Amino acid sequence: MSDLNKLTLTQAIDGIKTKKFSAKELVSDCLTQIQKLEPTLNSFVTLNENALNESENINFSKPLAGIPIAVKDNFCTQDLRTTASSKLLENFIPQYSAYVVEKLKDAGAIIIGKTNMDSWAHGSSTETSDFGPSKNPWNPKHLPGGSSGGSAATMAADEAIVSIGSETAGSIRQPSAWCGVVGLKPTYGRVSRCGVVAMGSSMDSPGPIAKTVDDAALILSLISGHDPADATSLNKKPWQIPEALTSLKGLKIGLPKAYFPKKIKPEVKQSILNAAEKLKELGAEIIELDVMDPKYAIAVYTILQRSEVSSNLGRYTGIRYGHDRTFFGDEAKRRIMLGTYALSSGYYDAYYLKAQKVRTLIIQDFEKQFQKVDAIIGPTSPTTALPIGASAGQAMFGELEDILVEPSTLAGLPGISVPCGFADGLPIGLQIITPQLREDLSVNIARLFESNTDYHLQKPNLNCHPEQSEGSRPEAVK
Amino acid sequence: MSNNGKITLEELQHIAQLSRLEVNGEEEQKLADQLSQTAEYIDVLNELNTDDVLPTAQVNQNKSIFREDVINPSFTQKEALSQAIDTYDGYFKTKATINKK
Repeated sequence: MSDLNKLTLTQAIDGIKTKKFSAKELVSDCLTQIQKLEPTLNSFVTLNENALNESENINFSKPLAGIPIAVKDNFCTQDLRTTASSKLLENFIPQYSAYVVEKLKDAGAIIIGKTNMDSWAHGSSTETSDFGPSKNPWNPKHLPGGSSGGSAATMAADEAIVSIGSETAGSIRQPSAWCGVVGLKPTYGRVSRCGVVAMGSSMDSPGPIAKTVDDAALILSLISGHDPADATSLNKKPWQIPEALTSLKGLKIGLPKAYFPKKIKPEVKQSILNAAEKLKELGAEIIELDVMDPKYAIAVYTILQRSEVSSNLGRYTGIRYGHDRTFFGDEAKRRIMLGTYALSSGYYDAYYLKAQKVRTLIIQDFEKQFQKVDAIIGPTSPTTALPIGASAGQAMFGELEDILVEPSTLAGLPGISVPCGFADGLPIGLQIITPQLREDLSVNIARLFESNTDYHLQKPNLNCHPEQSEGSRPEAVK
Repeated sequence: MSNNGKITLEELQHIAQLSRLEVNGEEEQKLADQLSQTAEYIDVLNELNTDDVLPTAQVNQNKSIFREDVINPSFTQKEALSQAIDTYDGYFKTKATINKK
């Protein structure tokens, strides 16, 4: 058999368990794909040299036995370099693994490598990585999005079977939308942050990026649950995959007018309206919503995230691990300094406290909306993948790109992005937001949408080359 | 908010010092401009009245998480020191933080 790397997680698990192929063959096919595409895509920062060895001895009773998984490079992996795509941590070999990584290994998965990201997860492009940008598999002249851009790219390019990302505001959903894959951002506290390089601690949420909704759901069921090492971890049992729905009858789905900003790409708007129509066909009632202008969420997020960053990155002193603070890149410096400013005496009330109060208003606005509807949909991103270089020198690039995911992140809500169309050969993502702890609902809506559309089955033509002439875009092929 | 959100070079150096970051040369003006740009953007929050609104520090219902004060397995001294650039006699080595006087 060949091209095993193209399998979904569900297919790969079945193939290994029924001995259609071995874990070694599966890992080997992923490594072959990685060797072929890495010079173009740069999805990985570090590969696990032991992956093939680990695939020789697998325990078939485990749910992810022998499954090669790509993990974002801000998750600590014991004895495997973890850099958060920052030069400051270029030599850091963690002495322990993140909770999520432990859970995956306990489930039998093989970490195939650590994926590229915006340095310290500060960005929405993967362009601020100190190890060079990752490229979008649909067109390597374009960005994969970020910060979990490497993870999303591995899924579109079939460099692994499933992957892990983390989201503070958009970092799972937006790269998934731009790469045409599925990204599931859980409720804040559903998945432990222990061992994840801290960014905006009151928002950081690890979660899966996968080829299908079922795959993402399976991973969430394995990495969720209470972790006493994370004080914000919810004291709940691991999330359970819900029974699939056959219709959306009785469900009210909200479509906020404000989620179609003036600058939205027309094809993105059209795809979301088509998706809403599809959900209506499936039985849902679509209700237009007047929600709070997302511009306030951008401002709140900017203040809170920078403040939390300035505190979190204070630990990098170059004493216990990593290089000293002169190794911080421009973006990290900007964020640390703005956060320090917002928290400094004389400005605290005007910035930090004000932002915390508006955060309350945003939460109240969602509570109000969820009295009218069960779920909210909208574009994940107002654009398709932007060209390489788009983020350079723009202090607010990420915030403006993530305008449609920031409100829900501030309220700690779960969200999922699923492929819902294409424009100029680049994918478009539909996001589905639900109240806290209602991943069952977003997963079910996404699952039914996915099984009634074929966007997720389309794959980029990976025989393209970065030096290809302008305008020659890879065709979407079925 | 002071100076209409404009951050002066003096303020910038003060923030850099508080952040333990070095900022010099061309970088100084660039950072001041970029920080001012961001500070200007976040002024939009002043459009909203928050007089009777309580601040939100975190979004789930977890409160006062304690644990029993028991000793659990942890890093060995060797493991703890394994990533340090400089160690001495089983300790982390760092620059002096207080001047001898």
